[in-house]
Amino acid sequence: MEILDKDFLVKFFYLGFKEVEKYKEEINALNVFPVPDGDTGTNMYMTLLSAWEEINKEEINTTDDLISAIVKGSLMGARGNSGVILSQIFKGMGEFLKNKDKITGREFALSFVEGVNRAYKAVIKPVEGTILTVSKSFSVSLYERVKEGESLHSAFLHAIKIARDTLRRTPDMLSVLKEAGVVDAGGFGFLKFVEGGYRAFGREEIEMEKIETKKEVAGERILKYPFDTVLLVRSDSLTEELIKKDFNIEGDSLIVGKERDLIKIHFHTKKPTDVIEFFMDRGEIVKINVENMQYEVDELQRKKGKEIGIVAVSRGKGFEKMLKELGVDVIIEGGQTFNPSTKDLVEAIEKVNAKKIIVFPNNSNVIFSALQAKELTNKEVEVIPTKSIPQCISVVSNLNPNSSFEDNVQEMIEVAKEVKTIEVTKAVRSSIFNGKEIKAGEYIAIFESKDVRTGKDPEEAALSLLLNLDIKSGTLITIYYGEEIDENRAGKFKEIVQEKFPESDVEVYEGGQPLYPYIISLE
Amino acid sequence: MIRVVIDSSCDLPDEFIKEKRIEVVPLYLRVGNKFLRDRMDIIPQESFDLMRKGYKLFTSQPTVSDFTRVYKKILSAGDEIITVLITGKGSGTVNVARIAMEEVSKDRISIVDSTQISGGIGFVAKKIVSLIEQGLPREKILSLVDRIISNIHLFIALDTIKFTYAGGRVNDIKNFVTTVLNIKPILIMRDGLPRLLRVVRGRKKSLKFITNLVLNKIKEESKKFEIAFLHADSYEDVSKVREEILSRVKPEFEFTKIIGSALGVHAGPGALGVCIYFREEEL
Repeated sequence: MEILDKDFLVKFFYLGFKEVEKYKEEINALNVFPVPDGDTGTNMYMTLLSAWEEINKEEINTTDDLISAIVKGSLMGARGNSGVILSQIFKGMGEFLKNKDKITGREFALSFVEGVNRAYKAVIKPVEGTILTVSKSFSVSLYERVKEGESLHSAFLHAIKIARDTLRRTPDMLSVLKEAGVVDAGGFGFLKFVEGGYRAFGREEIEMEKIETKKEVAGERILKYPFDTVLLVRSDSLTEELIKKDFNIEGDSLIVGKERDLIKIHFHTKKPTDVIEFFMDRGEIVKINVENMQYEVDELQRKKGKEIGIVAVSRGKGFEKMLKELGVDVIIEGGQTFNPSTKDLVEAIEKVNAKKIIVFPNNSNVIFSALQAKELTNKEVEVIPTKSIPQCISVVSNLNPNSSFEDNVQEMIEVAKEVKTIEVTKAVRSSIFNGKEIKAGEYIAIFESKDVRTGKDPEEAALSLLLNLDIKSGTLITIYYGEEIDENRAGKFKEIVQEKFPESDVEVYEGGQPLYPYIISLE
Repeated sequence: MIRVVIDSSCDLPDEFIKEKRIEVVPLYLRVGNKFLRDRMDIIPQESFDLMRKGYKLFTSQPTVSDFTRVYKKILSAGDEIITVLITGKGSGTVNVARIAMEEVSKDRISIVDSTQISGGIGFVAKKIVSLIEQGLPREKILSLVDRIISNIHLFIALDTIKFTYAGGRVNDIKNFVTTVLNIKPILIMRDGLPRLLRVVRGRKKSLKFITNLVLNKIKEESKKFEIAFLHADSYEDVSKVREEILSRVKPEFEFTKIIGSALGVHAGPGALGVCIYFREEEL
């Protein structure tokens, strides 16, 4: 029967601790659950460190001394959720192993089961796909095999493999992990701990299979290097250094590992055939595996869909960027003197992956086409009758994920009413507007198609109009400058406006719209 | 007697904490591998300065021993304990305290998940203190906690979404990863988490919005109330909001306080909050 002595256990704990320390940063980088604050590795390390310090502080004569030091040290120093869970695993193990003269392999294996049980109980709401799941699969496999008579040593190695598989599947159990393209950080930390500990069995240095912990999905919808290419090549002469030196194919995330005469190459690229060609005459290709990550990303996006989709009509690259960032799904080019057709609007509505769609015409001449488009699609569509892009910006930023579609629409119609717009443009011909004479070539500022002021330059016209309006304190004045105005000039204009209206907030953004040097909103 | 233990994200006037002998267990601020105790090793102003300068700060829950130390001290004097803590949906602090309780004494310690932050926890703790002073036993007090919590309303006006976004604790603002527009979300604490109520643009509008929100709520409830003005190093703005509100309505009790660093990391400098506690006569 295998008997584990104190020295073995110290070695086991120390090597596990060191392995976690080594992978601390990698564990941190995976941390997205429960909150993405990137500290899981640090927390697990600090927890283990506290236990290690306790071991060194106390006089350790028996396995009992050792176990109580680990339990006490890890408990008292536990940091973060993963640290607390780890400390609870140790505590459960400790309670089971307490007062045993000799610890058998079977008891050691069973203590992991007890430890994991304890951890599950300590968490108010256990979540699967985390360190809990990984440690559970490890402990259950370990005990089952040992119980059937397998040696602790070989059962342990098998349990590591099981834990590794479980870790790989954590994104399928916990959607936040899948969305971020990572495996669970705490689970990875636990795996590293037992992998490190395994070295205490000594004898041979085992090869620890590198596990892919991160996939490129987070945030990026268009991958620069979509093909995940993995090759297994047999060669005696080829080395990691040689490959890294000669490898000149465009791509990223190159990982090369050599085990005896087998080399594993992992690479993200646009053209996987180049990678294959590169190795064709450098060794014997054993295996090729190519996956299109772009397809996976697209599938994920498609499946996810959205509850509420947004279509907006806009013109100008600055406006486009703002609207995209605010969550507008499809932008249709158009506006004054350039109205999109009903067909354009229907196509845009069909393109959005959502059952319910909100359409912003952003021009009084487009409202009618938008209402027509609504009749021509099977989707549930609401048109918010916005007459300007700034109106749309204020309204869209109010889309509340907590409210229903109907409530959102109601709210948006209300908010839209609070936003007034001034448009500044150049008069192309002389005319009379609301009894006011306008000369060709002059700049005119128009407030809600009602009030108008002129000026020799756009700033003068706008300012003259602004000063004529009853602007209440606390009003937000937003200046969107068009393609003919540079940032500097717009900034200076903003300063002047702020000076004239000290009781208001004045903000300036690039709208990038043609024909209108300035579009100004008041809300 | 029963003593109250809170964590450092709970906001109450310092004199009150001292007078009522409330024990504070600090949350941590993490800078690299260094852990600083909130309101002890680092004061809020310092951390807001660091944040403005672009330092990346992280938070961390207390350790089990932080609680066991305080618990043991109180129990050794023969007292009982009610622990009032930051919402369990936003922090693991409640879980840590529970483990500490099991280490020390299951019978003489209670743990309350306030489902709140800042002044919201403060009002739960304050009401519990007054129930203790009325001589109510621990069991009875605990049975009233849900009612106390239902009378608390906390509104938050962020000055920037940057820090809240990075902190990852407010799911609703994930939709607003805007780098271009200067948007100011208004949040409300609901069921243990801050939820998005409205997005406004412009600081002045945002202050006006939260002021009206609070005034409307007070009008709607038309009950006696207590109020807390909380700020992340934006004393001037919170004072304006306070003046405006107090010129219209008269609370039974009010205080202004800078929030701790641990919450501050998630709210970001410039954020402010108003917390109302409506009194129930029979409570």
